[in-house]
Amino acid sequence: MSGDISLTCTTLAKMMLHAARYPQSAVSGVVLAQARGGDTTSNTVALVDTVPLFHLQLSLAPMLEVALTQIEQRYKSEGLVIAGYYQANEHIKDNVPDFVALKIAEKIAENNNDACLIMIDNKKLCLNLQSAPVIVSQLTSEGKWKSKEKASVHVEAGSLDVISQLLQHKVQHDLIDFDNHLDDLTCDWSNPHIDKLLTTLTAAAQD
Amino acid sequence: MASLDLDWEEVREQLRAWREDNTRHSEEVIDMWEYCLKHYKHKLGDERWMVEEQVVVAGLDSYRLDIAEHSLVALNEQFPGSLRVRKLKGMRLEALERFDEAMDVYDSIIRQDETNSTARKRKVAVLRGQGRIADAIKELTEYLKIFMSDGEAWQELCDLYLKEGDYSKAAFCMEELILTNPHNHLYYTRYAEIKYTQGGLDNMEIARSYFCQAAKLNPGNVRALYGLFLSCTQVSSSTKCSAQKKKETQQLATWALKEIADRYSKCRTNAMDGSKILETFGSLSITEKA
Repeated sequence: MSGDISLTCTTLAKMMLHAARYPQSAVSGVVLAQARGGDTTSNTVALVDTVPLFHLQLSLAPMLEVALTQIEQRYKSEGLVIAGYYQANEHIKDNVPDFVALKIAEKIAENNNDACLIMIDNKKLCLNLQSAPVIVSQLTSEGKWKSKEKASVHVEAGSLDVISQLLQHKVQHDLIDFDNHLDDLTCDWSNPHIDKLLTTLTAAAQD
Repeated sequence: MASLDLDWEEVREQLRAWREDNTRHSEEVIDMWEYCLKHYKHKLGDERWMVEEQVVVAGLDSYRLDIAEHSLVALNEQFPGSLRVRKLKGMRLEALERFDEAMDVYDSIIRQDETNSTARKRKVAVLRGQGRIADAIKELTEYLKIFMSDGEAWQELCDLYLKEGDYSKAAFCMEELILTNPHNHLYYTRYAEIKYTQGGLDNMEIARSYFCQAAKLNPGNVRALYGLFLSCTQVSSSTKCSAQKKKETQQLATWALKEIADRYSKCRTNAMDGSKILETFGSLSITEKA
């Protein structure tokens, strides 16, 4: 619980795209990590992917239960588990977790000690990202959410440039969240098209 | 983006459709205006002024204040002293975060015309924009005492109560909406979701009925079907549920799940196929919430 947090480009990108797609609403989603298979050597929590959930009403239970169940089932075979919850508040200056964020994050923490609560820092979200616009918190032993030092949160190299490019090209309009899926079942909330795009961009960036 | 290869008449139709549906497409409206329709504004006739108004609002929404102000000036010249234009001036102040001045503008409109509902609603928007949710609720409740048939206002109030976590008051707002719109499956669904979230056997049974009605009104409503399945499962696993009721409810749950699986199969989606749904949710053992 005192370790570092690392986010892959994909993880951060999907979060940012989700927030950018619905600038007038609060948005929420979950982050995934590899299941801890008894690997106690690494103290870092590596967040590898994001599933954007809602932009309509974040505080209602039924669809959240459906989403969490489906996500757990889908990623079980890949050895991934739900490792945290993110939320971008409606108000640009508001990055404090509300009762919804706390409740859901606590629920996730029941199954996963290292669970993260990620609040998106709306003010820092822009077309030329200088730093990762996230505030990551974990539970202390007293059961309080404490935000990590900036130095403990690592983002995959080159992510900020790649994500800035995505935002400049308005890729957020292609992002699918669970609300979209419920409105149209053909929409895939795992966003494979975004994954593909990111692979291409990160490869190009490394050249 | 260079110029849009769109026929200006098509653009006009699209903007008109969005106006009538009252949907939010601010970025697209600005693009369409700037790269196309602006050059044909003199061909729009009387419709021009509704389009300019739409452009002002879209411009303020996308923080293209240059475009918004240009149209605002044009509207002001055409309709000097108009309260409708004055409201847009208030909205511009909101966009500039000059909230107190915006409030003054709206108050001046209300002083001049007591029946003006849009200025009153803008005041609620200002409060929400400042993050003063409790004050916004107060203002909106006062508004609804006068304009009690305003569906949009009831929806907004429901939203505000949900932000505050006041589920019972949010449910009351949905009840008002259902009373005036008994065929709107979305209202039934939202009401059921709120009841489900409140928890407890009584609320769960209400949720089940309303999800059921929503699914009846619109068999394509996937949220209603999922909600129906979940609420049935909750009710039937409750210790206070009689054996007879348990059987009926479980049958309903099974039916709902099958309907959902059918929908997925019809979609032929890679995400989840029908059998996976049965597998995922069939084994769902819910913790007792009822």
